[in-house]
Amino acid sequence: MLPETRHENPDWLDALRETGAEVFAATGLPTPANEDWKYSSLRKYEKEGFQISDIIGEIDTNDLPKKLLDKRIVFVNGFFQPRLSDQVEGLKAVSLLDWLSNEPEAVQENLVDVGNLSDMPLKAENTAHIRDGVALVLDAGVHIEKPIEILYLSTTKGVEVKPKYYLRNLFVLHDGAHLNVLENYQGQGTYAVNHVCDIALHENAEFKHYRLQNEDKNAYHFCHTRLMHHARSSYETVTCTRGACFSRHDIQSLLIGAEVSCNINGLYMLNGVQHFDTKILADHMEPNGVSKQLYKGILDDETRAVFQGKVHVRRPAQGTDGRQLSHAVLLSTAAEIDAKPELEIYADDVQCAHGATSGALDEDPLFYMQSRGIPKDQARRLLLGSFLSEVIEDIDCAAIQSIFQAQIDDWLLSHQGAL
Amino acid sequence: MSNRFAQETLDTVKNLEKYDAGFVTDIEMEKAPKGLNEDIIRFISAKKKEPEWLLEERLKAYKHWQDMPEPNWAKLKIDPIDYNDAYYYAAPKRDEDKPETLDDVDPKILETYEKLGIPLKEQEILAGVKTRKVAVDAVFDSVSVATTFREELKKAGVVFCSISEAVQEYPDMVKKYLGSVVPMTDNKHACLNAAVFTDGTFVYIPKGVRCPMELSTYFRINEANTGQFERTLIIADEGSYVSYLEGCTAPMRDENQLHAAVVELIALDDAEIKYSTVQNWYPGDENGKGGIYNFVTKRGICKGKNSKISWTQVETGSAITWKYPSCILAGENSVGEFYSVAITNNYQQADTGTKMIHLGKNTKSRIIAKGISAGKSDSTYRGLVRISPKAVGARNYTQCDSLLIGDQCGAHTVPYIENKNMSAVVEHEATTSKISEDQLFYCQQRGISEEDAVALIVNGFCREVMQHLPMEFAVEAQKLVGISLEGSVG
Amino acid sequence: MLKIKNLHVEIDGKEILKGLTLEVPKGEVHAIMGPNGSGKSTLSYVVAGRDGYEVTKGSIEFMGKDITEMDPDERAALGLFLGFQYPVEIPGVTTTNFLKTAINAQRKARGEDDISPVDFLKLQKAKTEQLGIVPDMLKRGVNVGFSGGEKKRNEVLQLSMLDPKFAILDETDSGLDIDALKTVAEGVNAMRGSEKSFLVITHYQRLLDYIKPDVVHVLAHGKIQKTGGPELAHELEEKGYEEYINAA
Repeated sequence: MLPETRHENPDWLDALRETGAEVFAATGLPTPANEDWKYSSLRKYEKEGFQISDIIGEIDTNDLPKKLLDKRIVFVNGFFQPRLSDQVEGLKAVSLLDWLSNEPEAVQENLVDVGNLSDMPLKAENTAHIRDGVALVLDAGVHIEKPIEILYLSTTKGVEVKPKYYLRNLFVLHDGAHLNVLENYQGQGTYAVNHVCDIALHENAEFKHYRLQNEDKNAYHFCHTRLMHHARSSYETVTCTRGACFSRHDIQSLLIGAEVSCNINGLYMLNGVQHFDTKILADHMEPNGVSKQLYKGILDDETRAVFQGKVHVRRPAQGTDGRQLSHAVLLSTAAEIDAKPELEIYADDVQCAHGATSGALDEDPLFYMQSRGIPKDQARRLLLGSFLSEVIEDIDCAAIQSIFQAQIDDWLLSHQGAL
Repeated sequence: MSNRFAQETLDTVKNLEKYDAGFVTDIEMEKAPKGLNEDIIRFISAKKKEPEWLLEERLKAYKHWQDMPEPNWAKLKIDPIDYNDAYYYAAPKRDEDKPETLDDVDPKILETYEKLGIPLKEQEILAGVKTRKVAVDAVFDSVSVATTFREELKKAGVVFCSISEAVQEYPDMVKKYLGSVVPMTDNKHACLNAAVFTDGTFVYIPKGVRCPMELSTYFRINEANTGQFERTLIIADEGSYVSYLEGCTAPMRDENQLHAAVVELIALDDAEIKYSTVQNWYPGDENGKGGIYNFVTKRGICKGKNSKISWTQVETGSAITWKYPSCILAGENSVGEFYSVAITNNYQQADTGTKMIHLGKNTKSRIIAKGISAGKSDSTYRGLVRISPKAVGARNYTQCDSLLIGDQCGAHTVPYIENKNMSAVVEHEATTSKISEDQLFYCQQRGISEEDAVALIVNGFCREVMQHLPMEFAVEAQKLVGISLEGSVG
Repeated sequence: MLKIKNLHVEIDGKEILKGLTLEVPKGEVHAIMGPNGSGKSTLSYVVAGRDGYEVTKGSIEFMGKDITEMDPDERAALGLFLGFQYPVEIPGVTTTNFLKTAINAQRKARGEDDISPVDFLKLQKAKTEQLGIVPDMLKRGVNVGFSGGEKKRNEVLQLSMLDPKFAILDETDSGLDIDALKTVAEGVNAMRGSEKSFLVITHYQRLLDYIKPDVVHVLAHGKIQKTGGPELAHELEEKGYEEYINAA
């Protein structure tokens, strides 16, 4: 089920892959000696011995999880599956390979600016293996307000090795375009995925970007997002993390235009031995930008969560409003949360603040609720549910909000015993 | 009370030169040859008539030091230091062997301390010329030249002397505790100190004793091309209490001088140590030339149950400050506190904060840090709160506020929060703001000049921290706020 | 006492006051009334010397001196007080500390000695009691967490303690309930006398029932449009500002 025709690889793309390979060969996998990876070790991942695989077993619609929204675009093991996907009006391209065959120059323009790869070893590795990925390109003024689901399914069906999949995603919204997307990460087996996502928001563009990370509990999930924010563009993202034994999400938001708005939020629910690490940079370069980060999570068993958020306000970025909050509830004596909310500020007329809290669930309301006849475990579920729901409160798309709410409810119910 | 402070602040701003401690005392010095090597270390040890074990420790530290990298994780730009281009021992010739009484001290040195406003004359203090009794250990370059009120303190059982004297008189205690909180391999600066420390203060408060007066050390760098490497060790035995203050100044010079101190505090069961610093080393001129490199390792251990260590610091001086007074909260119910004001102006850089390591049950810590940046300076709060798995019921509250004055400076906050215990509650908050035009105009409309208004508003911003300083120091600190921000507006 | 001649003022290049002339002699209370956006607050700020208000033409004379180029604190030391419409919060600086700092700064500028701590406390006690201010308010940061009424009382407390020769009260009545309004007015009335002058800026006539003006001016389109006795205020209350708004 691989794409039938392999396109000629343009020279620039080969060169780009080569650069990625060279950098990755030099850096190797990051270790906790690297400040960005202070709280996350890839030792276990290394030992798994994942290998690159091109094999896609026979998948038909019945093998796919239930559709969450009207329109769905499907990728299996890193490659676009047109047969399993719906048609969406208003999109210039859907997959990287398609776009590459139609408009190679446009792809080049959007792909070559990869940033400093030696600071991002996993992105370098991904760059060395650029194949397919999502490429959603919206012309100026195109509005796709109805949310589209993008399913990334990873399987080990018919694969002999422990497979490693790469995806290179591009979201390009030209001036004034609007897009609403839910990325849904699912899979079965022991595998690793390395996603790199480059987003270009041109002037006045608006991107609502939701993510549901529900990989197999034996999987490794790496995602690196880089966002170029032109003037007056707006971005809102919520990531819901439930899956993978190890996941790491890097978000670099570069506010290169004035008056942009950037909301990066997340919620996570972890149990077993899951490890989840988020690193966020909001880099304000021009005046009057607003960036907000809110991460909330609950940690059970021997799980560990890491939140490293940074608001960087450069000298010209007067009038910046930058906020950052991380709240975690520990449900088990063996769970751990590490937070490093950082501010780096070089402009005086700004409002910046951050806060971080962690600890056990506040038990005070429990007795009150019990005295009103609510059983204790239900009361705890209610409290934890409302704690997490704050993250999704401001999502104005009802369909998306209810998908996230269902995830919260489902997790809490399935951990009834633990609570 | 606060009125008086504010008024004095305003008066001082008007009346004083920018850095009034910047004078040099012309005095004949005994110096070790320039440079750093084993012979210099042997020279220092011999000068101090030290026992063999201490010399061995020094040499061991020196070996480690040679292989250790400079700490590079702080947000500081530091020109490479030529460790061989400095004197590691400089003592006033006449007072090299510590004078028995104040009358024997070189009058020039007495004059120096007088000029700095440090009371060394017990009679004057007793006669009420100075407000309150504070015992002083005066450290001049590499040696302690005078320690006041020793006899009176001795009656209470309190040991207050220079560390060199303690090595001779209380060798067992020194051997037991020196390096027990800050091991020599902790970091390069601490390691250098372990190799070349020359003097400093030793305090022991016996069981159940509340130290009858405040103790203080006043550090003065005078000689050119010298570093100051002092070592302070304070042991508070069960149920005791002590409040200790330190102050420091240096002449204005175009070269950078290194100050690498190590302070270790030990609080046993139910003991409390309150440690306050007003750091006013020469900050360099308005073009960033000269000034002290203040690379200090300060750490206390709350060893006993219910013990408490409280650090309060007002950092206005130094070209570069690298300093993280920390608490290891080992004893059950022990408490660590850190109250800090760091002001940078012109080209100053400060990277300062604390570490609160919660090991024991029900340990509590509180961090209030206020950073003020002006001119082209950079100020960073860097802190670590670590709750270990055994620290059941631990609590931490942290608040970091930054104030920026002008658009050429930087203010940064880098907290590390590690919670490995579900029963712990850890809270951290930070904000960044500036002095608003509205506030300045409001003050000016009431007759307060712009520069005084800045001092007033900044002192208000720092109030929560200043309140924790002993009164005499609070007055001094409030003055310094005004002085160090001079020229930052308008 | 205060003489303003043909005053033109710009903010960010936009002309707000367009040739305003006004004279308030010693011992008189003048009121300035006007519709929103007429330049009332601009007038108070420019007299007090706030940055960003550019005098392009004309002059302001106070106590026989041209103060147009003076810093705000120099004007304050001469005896000029501005009661703010929106008093500013200064965290960590107690009201007592602030007042004492201000009093002594003004005394110093006039070449006088500092007020003695005892005299200061006596004065503060007398004035706070007179104005019904709870002592606790003095220990809090200036205006921090104060209600609208408390902030205005605090302005009047500062007014009576700094004892200026001339006070501008900018919309002092806004946000006050009737009791607070009376207390504030009583405080001001207690200071009236042959040596002091007041300029009361207000949108409504209400305040002028309690602080009776000698002269009322109507300000619109950046100029004094009409001057009259107290009856002018009543006339405005009945007819509104329409006539002046439409005039230009």
